Amino acid sequence: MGKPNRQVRPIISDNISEAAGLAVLDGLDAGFDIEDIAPDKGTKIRGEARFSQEGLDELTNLSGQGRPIPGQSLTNSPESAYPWESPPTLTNPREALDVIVAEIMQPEAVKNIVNALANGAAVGDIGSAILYAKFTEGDITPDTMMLLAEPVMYTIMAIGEEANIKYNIEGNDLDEFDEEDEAEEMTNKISEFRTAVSDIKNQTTQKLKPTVDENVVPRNILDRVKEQGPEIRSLLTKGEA
Amino acid sequence: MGLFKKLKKAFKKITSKVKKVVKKVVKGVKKVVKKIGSSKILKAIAIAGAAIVTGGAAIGAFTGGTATGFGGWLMNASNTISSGALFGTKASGLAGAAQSAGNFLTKVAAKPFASVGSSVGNIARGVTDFTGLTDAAKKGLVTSDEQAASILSRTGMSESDIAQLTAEGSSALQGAAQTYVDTQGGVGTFTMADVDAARATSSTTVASGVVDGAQSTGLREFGRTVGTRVATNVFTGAAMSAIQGDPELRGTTLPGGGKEGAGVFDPLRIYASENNINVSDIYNQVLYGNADPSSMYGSQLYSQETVGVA
Repeated sequence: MGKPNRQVRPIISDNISEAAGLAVLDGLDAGFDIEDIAPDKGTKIRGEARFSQEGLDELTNLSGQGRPIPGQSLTNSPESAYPWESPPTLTNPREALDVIVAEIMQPEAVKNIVNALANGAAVGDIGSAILYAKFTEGDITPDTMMLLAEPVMYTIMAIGEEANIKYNIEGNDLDEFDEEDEAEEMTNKISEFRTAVSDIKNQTTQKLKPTVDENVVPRNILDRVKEQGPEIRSLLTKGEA
Repeated sequence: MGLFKKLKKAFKKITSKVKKVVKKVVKGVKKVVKKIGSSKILKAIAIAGAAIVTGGAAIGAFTGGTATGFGGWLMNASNTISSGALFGTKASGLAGAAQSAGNFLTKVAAKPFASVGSSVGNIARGVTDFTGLTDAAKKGLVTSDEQAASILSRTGMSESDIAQLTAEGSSALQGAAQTYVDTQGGVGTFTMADVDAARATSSTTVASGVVDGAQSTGLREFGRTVGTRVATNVFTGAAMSAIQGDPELRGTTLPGGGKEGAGVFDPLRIYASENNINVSDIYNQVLYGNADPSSMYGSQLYSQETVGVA
């Protein structure tokens, strides 16, 4: 295990991805190996989304039920406003993040998240469901909901990593990173191959450079050709009419 | 388009954007760390990201607070912020006052960065055991002096205190670290006073016969007993914490006593004005990292040249 040769450098950023990237680079620079940061836990569980006609039918049925008639909200009594129509309980995004992360870290919630990830649910979808529920309960504003998307997604991703699951981030992109790696590897190999071919070609060309023996054609014939110059006509030239 | 549909659409856009940023960061890290798979880098970023979001509590939770490698190193930064010692404590006079002000600020202002801290740490500690992902028996146990010293060094405990515990023997050193892990989930500060309090409680517990006296002769055993208790009562504790809330900060740590003046917050105002942030809303700004925004100007502000007095 690598030992750090210095303390952590202060990092502040307005997005977690950048802050996390900087923290990882800082750790590597301080003497850690990538294996110290992300230890291998063996083969990952593949959280692959599988198509199910039954599930799709159920979703279609659910989405068609109980939908409000356009303008229905205008007929509601102002006395009985929806929770999201009142001021939110958590106005500070940081406080809201603390509350939501603490709720996500509840054993029952973690268990459900792990199950969902293992069954192919995407991190983005789980995060959006959690935050959307918080909004509809009147806990946060839509703005806070958007601000918390990234940190909540990271928390879910960390749970997935801890559970050793290969999860989807958005849609069914389970193997996207690996595919990109493979594509990159292939591009590198092709590029290496092209460089090698080009090298061989250059060397061969160099070796096979034609050396013309000037004495093959007698000097007087060459002089005649020079004299005749452009007047020499090709056999294919159009004859005079 | 209705509000909800708009929200869903906006959220989808954000999710795609987050994924793009994650990819970009993975590529950025990959340029530096060559020949390592993107999945591995993604894992490292996810772990570091969660540590940043939860102020180190995620690592504390997933490792039972015994993290010594990268996790421990990251948590160390989080604890430095919480203990408010970013500006040092040795200077006297004006510089000392400035340091006190800075440290006061980090104690107060840095709170949001570590606020999830111990409560989430404690709640989440048992999570992975609960879900059967890890083995509770193998996790969260301090097993060596080196590991114990490493854990204690990030709690803000002085080197002399750690040396004292080392001199007292393996059982004292490991016991202190184990107590910190069990009672605080490996997050936050820990002092000799806490060790003494734990010892006192340990003697009382042994005397009252709650724990078998023959098996609990040392602090280490106390730590393990507390661990069992914490595991069973962790949710009660979390609920109590939620009910009681954080202790209200009263008074000041500044020399002279009394309420802190507005001048204490000047450095924060400078940072805020430079970054177009309303100072009263500074912690409404969602910033992420292992440092407090006010610490970013700190080193320059307190080391800049001042007008010499003849």
